[in-house]
Amino acid sequence: MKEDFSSILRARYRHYVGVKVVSLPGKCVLVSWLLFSALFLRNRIAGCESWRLPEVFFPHISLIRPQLLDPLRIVVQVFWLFFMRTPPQKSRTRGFSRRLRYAVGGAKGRLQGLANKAWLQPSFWQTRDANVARRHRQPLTIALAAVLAVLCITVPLDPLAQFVFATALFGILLVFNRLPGRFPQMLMIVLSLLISCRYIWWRCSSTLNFDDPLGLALGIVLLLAELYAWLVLLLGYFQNIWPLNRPAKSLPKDTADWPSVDIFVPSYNEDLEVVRATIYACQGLDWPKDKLEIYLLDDGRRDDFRDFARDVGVHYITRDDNRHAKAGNINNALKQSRGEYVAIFDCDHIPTRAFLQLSMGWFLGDPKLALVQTPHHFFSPDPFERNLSNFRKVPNEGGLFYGLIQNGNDLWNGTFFCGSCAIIRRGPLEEIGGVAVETVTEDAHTSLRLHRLGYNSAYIRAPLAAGLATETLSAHIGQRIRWARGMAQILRLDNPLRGPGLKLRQRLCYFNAMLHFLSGIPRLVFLLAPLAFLLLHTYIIYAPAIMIFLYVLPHMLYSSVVNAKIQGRYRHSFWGEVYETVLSWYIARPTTVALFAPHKGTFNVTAKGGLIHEKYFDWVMSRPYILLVLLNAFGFLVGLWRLYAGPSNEISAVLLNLFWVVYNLLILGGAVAVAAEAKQLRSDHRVQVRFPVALELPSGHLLHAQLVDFSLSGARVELSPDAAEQVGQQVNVIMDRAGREYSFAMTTVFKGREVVGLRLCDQSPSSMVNYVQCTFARADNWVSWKQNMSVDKPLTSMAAVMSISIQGYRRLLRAGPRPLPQLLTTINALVGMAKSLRPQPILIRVEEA
Amino acid sequence: MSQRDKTLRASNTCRWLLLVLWAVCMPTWAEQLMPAPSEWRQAEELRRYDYSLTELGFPQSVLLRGSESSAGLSFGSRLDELVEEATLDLGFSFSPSLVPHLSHLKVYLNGEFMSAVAVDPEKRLQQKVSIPLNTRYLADFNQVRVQLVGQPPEECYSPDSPSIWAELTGDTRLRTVSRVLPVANNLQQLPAPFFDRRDYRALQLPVVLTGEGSLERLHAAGIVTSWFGALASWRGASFPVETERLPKQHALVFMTNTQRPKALQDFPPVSAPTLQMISHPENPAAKLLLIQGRDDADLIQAARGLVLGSELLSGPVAEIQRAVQSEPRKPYDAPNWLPTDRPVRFGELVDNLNQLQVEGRTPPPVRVGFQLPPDLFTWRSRGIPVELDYRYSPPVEDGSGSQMSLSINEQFIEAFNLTRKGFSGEAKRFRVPLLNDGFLSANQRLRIPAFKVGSRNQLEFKFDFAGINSGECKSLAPAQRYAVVDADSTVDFTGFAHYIEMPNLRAFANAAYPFTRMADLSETAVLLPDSKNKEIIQTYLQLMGFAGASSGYPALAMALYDDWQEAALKDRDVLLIAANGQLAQGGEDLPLLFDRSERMLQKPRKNIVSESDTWAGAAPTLASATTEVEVRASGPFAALLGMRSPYNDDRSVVAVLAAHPSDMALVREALADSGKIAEMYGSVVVFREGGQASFNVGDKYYVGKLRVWDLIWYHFSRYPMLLGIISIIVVLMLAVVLWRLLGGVARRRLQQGDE
Repeated sequence: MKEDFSSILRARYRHYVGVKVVSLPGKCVLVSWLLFSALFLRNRIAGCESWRLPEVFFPHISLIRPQLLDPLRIVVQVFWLFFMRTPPQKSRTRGFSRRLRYAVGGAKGRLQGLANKAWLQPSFWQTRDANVARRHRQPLTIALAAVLAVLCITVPLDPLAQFVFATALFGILLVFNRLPGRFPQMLMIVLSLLISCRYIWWRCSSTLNFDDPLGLALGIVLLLAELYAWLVLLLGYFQNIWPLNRPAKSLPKDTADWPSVDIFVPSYNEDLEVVRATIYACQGLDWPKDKLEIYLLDDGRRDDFRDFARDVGVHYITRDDNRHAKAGNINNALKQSRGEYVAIFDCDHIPTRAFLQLSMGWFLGDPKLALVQTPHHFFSPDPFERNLSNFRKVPNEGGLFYGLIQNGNDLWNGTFFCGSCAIIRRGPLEEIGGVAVETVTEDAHTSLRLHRLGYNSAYIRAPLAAGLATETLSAHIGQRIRWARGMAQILRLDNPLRGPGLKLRQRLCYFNAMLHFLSGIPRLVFLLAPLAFLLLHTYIIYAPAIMIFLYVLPHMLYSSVVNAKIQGRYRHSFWGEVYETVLSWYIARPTTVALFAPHKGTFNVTAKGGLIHEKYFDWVMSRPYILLVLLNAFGFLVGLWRLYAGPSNEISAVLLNLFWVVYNLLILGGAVAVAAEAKQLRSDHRVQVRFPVALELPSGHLLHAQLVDFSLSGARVELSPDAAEQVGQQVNVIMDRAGREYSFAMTTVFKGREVVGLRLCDQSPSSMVNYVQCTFARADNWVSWKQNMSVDKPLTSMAAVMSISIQGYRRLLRAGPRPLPQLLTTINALVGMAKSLRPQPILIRVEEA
Repeated sequence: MSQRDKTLRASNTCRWLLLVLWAVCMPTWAEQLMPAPSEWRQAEELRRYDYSLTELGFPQSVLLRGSESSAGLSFGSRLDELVEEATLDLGFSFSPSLVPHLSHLKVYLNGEFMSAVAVDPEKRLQQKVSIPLNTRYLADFNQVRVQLVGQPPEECYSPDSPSIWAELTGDTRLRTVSRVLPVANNLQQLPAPFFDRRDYRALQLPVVLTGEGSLERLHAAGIVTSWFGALASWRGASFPVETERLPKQHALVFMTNTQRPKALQDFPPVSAPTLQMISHPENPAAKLLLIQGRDDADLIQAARGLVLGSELLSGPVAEIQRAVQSEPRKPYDAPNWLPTDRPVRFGELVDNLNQLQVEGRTPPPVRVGFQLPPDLFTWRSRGIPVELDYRYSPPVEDGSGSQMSLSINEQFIEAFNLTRKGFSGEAKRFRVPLLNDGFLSANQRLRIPAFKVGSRNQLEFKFDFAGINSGECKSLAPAQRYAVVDADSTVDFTGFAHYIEMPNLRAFANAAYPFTRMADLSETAVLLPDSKNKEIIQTYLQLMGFAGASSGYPALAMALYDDWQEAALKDRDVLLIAANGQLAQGGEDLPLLFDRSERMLQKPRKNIVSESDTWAGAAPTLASATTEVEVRASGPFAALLGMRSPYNDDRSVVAVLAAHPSDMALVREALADSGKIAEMYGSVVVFREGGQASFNVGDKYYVGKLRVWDLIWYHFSRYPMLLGIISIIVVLMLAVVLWRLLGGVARRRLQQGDE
């Protein structure tokens, strides 16, 4: 018996300790617990063996390593268990939630049923379009609706009434939000417009304090910034209200009818490595060879480029000067080529082989069509994505533009030329004198001129080419500065709102694009606005806090719900704020300068394909944001002081401004996080994919494998451990492309348990063309990427931005001067400790007795 | 109680103002009017007056704080009386910490030292002393000033030490014995002796109307009583009617050559509208003002001549040749109402600029009073801009705690620090919040009913100079401190529309609105019953006086009717006075119907008391009737009833109704009682003996003009759900239109390739 007892104890002791080394206090605690449980407790308590109770009910406490705060943790956990304990059986709450879900599902089904109703289908209304009465009824309807809308916008309401009004409509907005399809979306847009107009009207009509000059001046500045934001919102709705989703159009069966295309690949200072893949991909384009001419436009006058062009058999054009940079380069090439169409690819944009086939169709149908643009797609993360580590999880900065805005522009015949991945008809291009050279954004300016002459444009939202994103944050920002400056220049030199040829809708599209880049100053105003109250103690929005709350909140809430609905797949809530905040400081000055002196400023080439060898914090780039953070943090502290020491009737105003400051700090934290540059070591970018290949061993055996990533110089495959064993030094990788199989000889450079790294042996032009065709230029490559992205959930986005923001502050502290990193360590330790106190969920499995 | 106190305080202010006025321009004409010695002996009647502390200007006991602080008790003495004895019964308490022999009260009458009262150490908390006042120093407006000279036992003390105080208790009284003086029959003194502005009591002036009161005669009487009402102003006025007998006091007599009281039957007939002042046949001390004419039409001219031309009259008799209004008055131009078409200087709001200056260590507040039209539409106003400029004796140091506090109708608004600069700097512009002020209303605690509609408003600027506390024993002789609010400071009520929800008996009770909209009642029709008995006429005359008190202008242009004539009543607001509850017109759906014995009242679900002193236009208070009750009863019963005119949607009717003619007294008493006036609101006020009740019930309508969009906003702002529904409709309409348009555009865009 005694022997039994001690052996049981020993077994239990071993269960807890295993092979670990245990400290003396640990031993004491554990042994006393085991003795106690064996002597005094029943065998089983609450369905599990009593000696294992601590393990089950206190999973976060280790008996063998007792810690100082453990008693507190135990108390917290006991309380939590006492109040929150969920029985192992199916709980009532779960039943309830299931019922709820069922009910919601039913409602959803009904709503979807409603959506299928005839009157919600476009055809229902369009057939009635033919109705003669329509012509008279429509203007009447619009006039009546406008009058009523003015009523709804301008009627002032007291707080309670405004609350009722906004809440009731918000409920309806949420109902619309659940309805699928375009019509509910349109309803949402109009509703949000109504609320935002109401807000702006209220702001303009009753929130300026004419008695306080300082408050009035600052208030007007803020109001102007808000008017800007409102205008951008308005134009954004206008642009995005009906994305055209233009399908690809098939070409005639007979390839003899297909037109001839010149492909221009301009380059200035990029590495040959970067250009090679592009040229190879162009050579692999599915187009009659006699109708396809490839031109490498080298502005750098580099011999290795000329040699490479000669080797692979493409035209090489260079010139003596670099006037007008890329625009001049293309114009120079225009004179030396003859194809009916010109396709332009930046030297790092690798077209998929179907590029021409999918995008040329529209030209043949519409003789006035001068431009077909496709999205820019990047297979490397841009600095935002890299530094925030959200590559391919959250749509990137360009996602919105290429996913939605261009698509929406297409409805209004206002697609812009974006400098690359586009095809232009030669005739119109020559008619406007080639690519525009007056501004630093020659691309948008060129399409503006084409539109002025009455030519059409089209946008095909299929990623048919992919390229490298900018490398460093400073380069990325430099590029945006160029765009911003260029847009501001166009606004001054060739204002789309004036001048001949454009339709109003096109003017608005262009104007919005330009307006977008003027966001710098308004954004800074928003970042500083709460300080006016907290630091200067002046009411810049002269209204009671509750009224501000009741007007601003619906405005923001409605527009963010609507934007989440229409942009959700292309931009997640709050991320745009982070992107714009990072850029705001830097584009504020150049755009302002360009607005006043449009001829100032030079073209700076976007550097790509660089490396970041060390993790570092970009102090120079983030300096303004750190200043803003400090200002806001100071404002926050002053706000706390006001809360404590200020008059009681100001508390709500202080709280409102504190809330604003916290929001600013959150967004600024995201901006700061971007500034911490992450490492990027590989010289050529590995593209993550997943498609099957076969490995042919020298012995002739074939192994199944998955290609997991590739680059221009090699690839990585994944295969079963057994198979991986057999891979030797030499191996042929067989890839499939359009029904044909290609084999590439590779050497093994790295061998893991399931992964093998391979390097391409034969780098001759013909082989490289095939290799690029089988990897970079696969037609189906990029399409699947977007599908992995989650649809926007504002709250989830908010949480993500919040965690990014916290990360940003951590990085800032870590990189900061001497006492700050220690401070961070302390904070981390404290936070960790506080977290460890939190009760832990337990898992009880009822074991059969 | 408190309402009464407020009124009293206001009236005391006025007394004070009048006193100051007198002090500045000491009138000498009083002596000239002294009657001849022969008449002197005839008047032997003595009158005794006993003024309580409240009547002397202090509703509560008077605190004297700090050494050399003083309080002034003011009273007037009538032209037709000579004060022969005056005694001040002073009840007071001393701070226990004052040294008895060194502390005392000094009493002055009109600046002349009368007596000193030492502290009695035995009963320092309840001391009473009777001080005879030397009547030689009495004048028309008198002030008894009580000054405290206090010294605490410490050697070093500050004269402002809080332990130095004395309190004049509520049993303080001023008693006078006056001999009635005969007054010469001279129209030059008008309105005295019929109305004497030195007399702070309510005016009671009998009116003698013989014969059955024809409308013209009543019209003339109405003009005159409204004038007296305007003169009596805050004192209140009533006009008992006599038909035959001459009252034994000063009275007005309306008579024509054919119809005159018996006692004056032998009086020579007149050949033109004539004013004449005679002594009462039986009582030479009482005077009669005869308003005479050949016929009733002449009486109107005589009355007009009296009210317009009193400044031209002298001698015992005057004939009125012509008295017309050459230019019609404009709406809202009543002299008593604050102009709302321009900023108003404070200088215009006080009778005398000295009222804007105060002195003393703890000076009394500077008070600026004014009355506002009741129908100002202040919805969504930011407050009333006040440009304030003031000067003061600078305190020794900044941040000493010296402050100027601004309050309105005893509600504190804002305080400003007094600095060593000694003036407010550039005119300080700020806004006085209104009840419905959007900026402040979100915070419940800041809902300040700052201005009162229709009744008198008072801006108070209280300068508090901090005491000097040097801590050392040295002689600090701080100079007398002065503070003055600049007369060029302005208050600006411009830009407010006139728009008000009716029926609104609060506006009627406070300002005789809507009749006083035209100060001369030119858009008012008074509708009297066929049988015009004494009670009815008395009520009518009092209401005219009431209107005059509100506007400050005689009712020169009102019209009188005794039947419902649509053509005549169409363009006028109707003031209906009827006994037996006869309405004759006005529909069945009135919330209150009654006759001699039966009464029916509709009551709302909830009787929304429009918050007292709110802006009328501010708080919409729709309340439909949900209960009806009918009773049969015979006790006294009267009512005020407001409703829309049956002939014109923009016009109103205010009906003064009584079950029996004698019940009219209930209404008259209520309208003479500021406490009862304050409780009147809504569309129905019913009076029974000893009580009244107001009801906010029945159909509402609006009068006044608003800009179209204000009108739309104002009315829609009350229905957020309706707005929500309209929004949904708009959204649907626009979305459908957009859907069609854009669908078409999209189709065309995609077809472009196929052409």
